[in-house]
Amino acid sequence: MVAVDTIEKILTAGERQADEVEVYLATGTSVTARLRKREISYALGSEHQALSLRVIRGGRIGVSSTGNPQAWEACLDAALRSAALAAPQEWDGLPGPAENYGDFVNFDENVVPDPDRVREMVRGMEEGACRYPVEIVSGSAEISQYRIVLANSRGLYREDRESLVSMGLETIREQSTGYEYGTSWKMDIDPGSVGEKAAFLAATSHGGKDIPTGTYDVVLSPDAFGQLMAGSFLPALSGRNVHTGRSRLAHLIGQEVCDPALSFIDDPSNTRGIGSCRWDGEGTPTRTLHLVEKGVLRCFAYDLKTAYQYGCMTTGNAVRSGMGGGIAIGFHCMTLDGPRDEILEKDAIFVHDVVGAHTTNPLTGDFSVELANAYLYRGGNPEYPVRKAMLAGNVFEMLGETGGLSGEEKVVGCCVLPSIRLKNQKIIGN
Amino acid sequence: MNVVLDPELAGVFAHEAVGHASEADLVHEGSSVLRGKIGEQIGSGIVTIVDDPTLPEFGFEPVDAEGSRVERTIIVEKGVLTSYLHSRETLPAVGFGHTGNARAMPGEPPQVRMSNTYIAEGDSTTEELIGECREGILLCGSRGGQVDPGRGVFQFNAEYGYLIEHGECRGMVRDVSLSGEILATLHGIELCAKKRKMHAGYCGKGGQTVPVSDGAPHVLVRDAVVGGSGHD
Repeated sequence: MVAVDTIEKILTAGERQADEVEVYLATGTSVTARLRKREISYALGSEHQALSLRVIRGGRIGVSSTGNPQAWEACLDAALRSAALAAPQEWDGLPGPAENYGDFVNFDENVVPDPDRVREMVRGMEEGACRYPVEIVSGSAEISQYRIVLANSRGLYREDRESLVSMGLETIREQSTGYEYGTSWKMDIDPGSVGEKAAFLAATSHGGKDIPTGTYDVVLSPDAFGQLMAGSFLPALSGRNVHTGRSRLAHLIGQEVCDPALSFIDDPSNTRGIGSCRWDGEGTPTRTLHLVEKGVLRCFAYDLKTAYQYGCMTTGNAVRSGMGGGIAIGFHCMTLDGPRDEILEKDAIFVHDVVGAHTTNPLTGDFSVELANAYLYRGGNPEYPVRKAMLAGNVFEMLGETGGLSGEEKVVGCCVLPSIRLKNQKIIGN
Repeated sequence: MNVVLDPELAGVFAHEAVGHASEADLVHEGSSVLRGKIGEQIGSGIVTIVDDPTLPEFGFEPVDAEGSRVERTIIVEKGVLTSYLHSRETLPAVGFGHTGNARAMPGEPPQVRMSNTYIAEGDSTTEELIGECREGILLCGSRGGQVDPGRGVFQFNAEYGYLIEHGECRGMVRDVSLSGEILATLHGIELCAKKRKMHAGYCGKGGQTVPVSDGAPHVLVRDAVVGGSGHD
């Protein structure tokens, strides 16, 4: 492990050659098991280290990262040379120490990267899957712990610990597949429930029928909804995309951009969010950001670089892409607020998953995706599984008329989302 | 709807819809619609699909990640499933093929991967394909896609397209997706054009990314499902 005094050495060496230096050091351990059918086909225990350096000299920003923190001098040299190549921009300094960072910590000391624990998770998923007549295709389980240190030449020094538990299982019944997963920073996921849900999806999607092309109310699960949001709506809330002409929401502050029933809130203190944090990837204290309030667009998300470049204020939304990753604007825990209802009480097509959401046009929001594990609901009950159909539309427009949110929510990447009922959606039958 | 796929999109189909389903680790897991179909007519007699790591394209490898000799694999020959793609682990378990398709990122375990995957040329011209299509759509370019090899279903998004009316290209369309069942689509391929083009890209599987290429000539497919938001 890299000693704390090494961070001091990096800062000292960096300050001799740059106006400002930032050091981000992440160390962690993890245990992973992968399942092939009912055998653990792969098991891995690993220790990770990653060092990411950022230097600023005359408004020129350079970055470099390495998986070998002991080689920090070469990493610093690369960051300085990268800064020399960069175009200068407006820059008003890295953040110094703040008075208040909040008290939320997404670390559970019960989350211990232990092979026996991971094996129990895998076996638990297998047992859950036994409740339905399916075959297990593959699965995985992982437990990780991380320690993160962020320091800079303005006197900022922050340390934090994080934990992560994740598991997933894929099952098949003839030509019907089902996949379910769970992610948490606490040891609170029930492997049996994950396995049972994966098996339930494959088993109940078997023997599907075709449906006619037409307009239907559609209920998207948190997974399906999250995938469609990730392709265009969430990126449109990034200040960088707004100012570089890549956001459909640019120039719409103060205007209605979705159903007035809905509010989009990035809440870094949400106790379920795996990305919830007290300070962002560059040390700015995080805060709850009301991006869309009852349908009206209120603000965009910024990091320091974009804020300085365009004369705005950072909102504490600098997010690092994994250990050693660079900084970009992102969300810590995006949530959706709105009226909760029994959203499957009236006829609708329930869609658990979609195929191809990442092909959504990021600028216009147009998409057409294949449905996976979809069911026609009548009178509040699933009447039959839908064999094959496409959902086509526009992400921004589909949020214009909604019919409520589910009470239950799920952790989906950097979001905690409910299911959502969308009215009058175009379904292309087979 | 009748669809003419340009070489880029047809290449994506070869890679995503057929190539992944032919990877023997997925066959072994039971998550491939091609499981148990060696020797069966899974597509029209026009269709031959090849994976070749020896081609000097973006997926070239002189030797695979397990040290096995690489060689060309005919996955589908004139519509008949002929071979899977194998590593040293999958060949004894699944059979039908040869080793040489194991690839890995540095420090990661080898997995069965594609290299340079393509639909072989036919003997029609592109104009003949569009003429034979009569009423349909020409889809061009790829914005990515996704496949569920176990279910046998794929979805791809074209960058743009042109409506085909009375055997000629007319108005332009955007944000069009092609969705289908792998086997039905293979049977629906009616004509392949003469000129194949390869496109470089990256393929992600099991947390690892490797350079690959995929390619095809223009391809005419009957009765495909085409989706779009329907906006002007």
